[in-house]
Amino acid sequence: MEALLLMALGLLLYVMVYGLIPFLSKLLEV
Amino acid sequence: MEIAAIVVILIAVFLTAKPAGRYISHVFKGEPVFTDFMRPLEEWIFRFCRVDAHHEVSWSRNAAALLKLNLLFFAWGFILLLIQGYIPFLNPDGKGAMEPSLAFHTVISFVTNTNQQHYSGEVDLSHFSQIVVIGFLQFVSAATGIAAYALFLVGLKKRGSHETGNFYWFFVRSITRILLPLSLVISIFLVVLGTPNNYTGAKSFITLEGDSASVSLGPVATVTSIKQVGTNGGGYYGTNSAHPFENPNFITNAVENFAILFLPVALVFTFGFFLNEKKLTRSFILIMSAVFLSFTALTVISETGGSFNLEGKEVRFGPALSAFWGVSTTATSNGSVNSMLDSQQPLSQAVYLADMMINAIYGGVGVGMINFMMYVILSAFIAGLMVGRTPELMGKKIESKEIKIAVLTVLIHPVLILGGTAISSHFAPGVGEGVSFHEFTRMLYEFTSAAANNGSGLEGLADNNGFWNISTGIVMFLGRFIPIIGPLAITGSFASKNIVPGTEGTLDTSGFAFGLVIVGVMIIVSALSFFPVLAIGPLAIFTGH
Repeated sequence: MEALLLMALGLLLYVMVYGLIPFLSKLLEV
Repeated sequence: MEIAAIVVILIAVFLTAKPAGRYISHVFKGEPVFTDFMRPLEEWIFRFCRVDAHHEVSWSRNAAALLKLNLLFFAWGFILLLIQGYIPFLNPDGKGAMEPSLAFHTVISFVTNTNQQHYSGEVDLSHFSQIVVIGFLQFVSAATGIAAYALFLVGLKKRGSHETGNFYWFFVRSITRILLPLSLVISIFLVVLGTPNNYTGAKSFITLEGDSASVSLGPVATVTSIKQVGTNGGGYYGTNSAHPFENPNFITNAVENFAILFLPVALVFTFGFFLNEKKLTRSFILIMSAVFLSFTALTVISETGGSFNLEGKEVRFGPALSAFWGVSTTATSNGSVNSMLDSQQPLSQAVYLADMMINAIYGGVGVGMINFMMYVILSAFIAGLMVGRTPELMGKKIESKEIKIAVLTVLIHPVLILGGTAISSHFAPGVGEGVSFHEFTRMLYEFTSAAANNGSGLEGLADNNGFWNISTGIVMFLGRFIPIIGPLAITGSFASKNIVPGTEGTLDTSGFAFGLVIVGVMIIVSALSFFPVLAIGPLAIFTGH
């Protein structure tokens, strides 16, 4: 159970940083 | 003798780094090099993985590819460490599964090129994990940094384009053309000089006192070579390069210290060769080397003068070479150690912290130069405003949108370090009411090392528990990928711009004056952010409080 939660935390971190890509694209208009 | 060794190592690094920088530039440009025999292997990897590595794409697609591949590496390492005990081969000592929070920390640590270790390799890892998880991640994390740097350079070079190269192409070539040949040479050196490299189990023996003891063996040279070459720093043994098998003698120490500095310095020269900006690169090298040599002098004097501090040091290396290693390993985001940093003088610890807080004095492979370029962009902007000139860098106009991202990228570092230290000062297990200056320094160091993706530690925190494993895991992750994604976005913006012809109103960014501005900006940003915590940490001990 603990391992699954930590796997989900890792995935969440990736999704958070991945979310920066469209945000920065919009900011820079590229 | 020790000082002579430091001089020889530095001469060797600077003599070889320039031609290596030229070679890496050829590799990035796809020009003919002596390692072209690797091309069939590269093409096979691209076909096998079904990636189109030959077409350039936008910065956002490259950034997405980088993150997706690293997510795959995270899942790969995490699952393998959890099932380590069930894998029936390359596990002669019968190592069991790793505890989940420790596996989480270990995998993020190696995926992010940090290699902070809350485990001891000889106790917790099978040979299979050492090779397929630890060794593998040391290659791919270093290659991720180098590929990100290559994308950054392509973006600076392009004019009026929305494409910044192809991440997969640079990633694979970084391994086959740079990391693999270099680590092969270093591991052969290490094996010849006495480092073990085998797949046998632990050996038992009777000590001179008559007690029974066992010593772990395994692919030590293999892991140690990539650990140094890729500025990883994750040791095969818990005591890292202070262990007599991982770093047997004075010569291996020199070879490993050379390997720590070689690629980070070479990649600075690559900047000049790739962009044909020799004058600007000379200025970068001078700035970084001036800070590096000042820090080296300060630390060597601190460890050898006065009390001649031998505590926590290996007598086969001595205090000066331990101090030089400490500066090398923290300046380049390597994190390996050949002595106990916790036993060093507070002034040396302050220097190591400053190295990691700036995180751009050569820096980690690829990412060090990316971090440095953020300071350069900020300096060009500030200097341009100060003297009323147009802020430009290599003919590309710097606008407010790029500055916003550069500031975000630079400031995420103190936010992670100071936030993490503040939280741990209150919530970390075992922290009572009266935190001593040294205990505070340990916590500050742990988060600085995590955010800078360095990996060294002062130890003494008893950090293998849920709190430290998860908190530093999150900091390592954010400290790695935000400072990569932000600059890639900036370079995407630069790629789309055309060169503005230089005029009387253009700020000269390659001169001595601008070099001083860069140093000033680095010091001001770091000093304003970190001086208060240094004052209640190592500097408080140094001043006798």
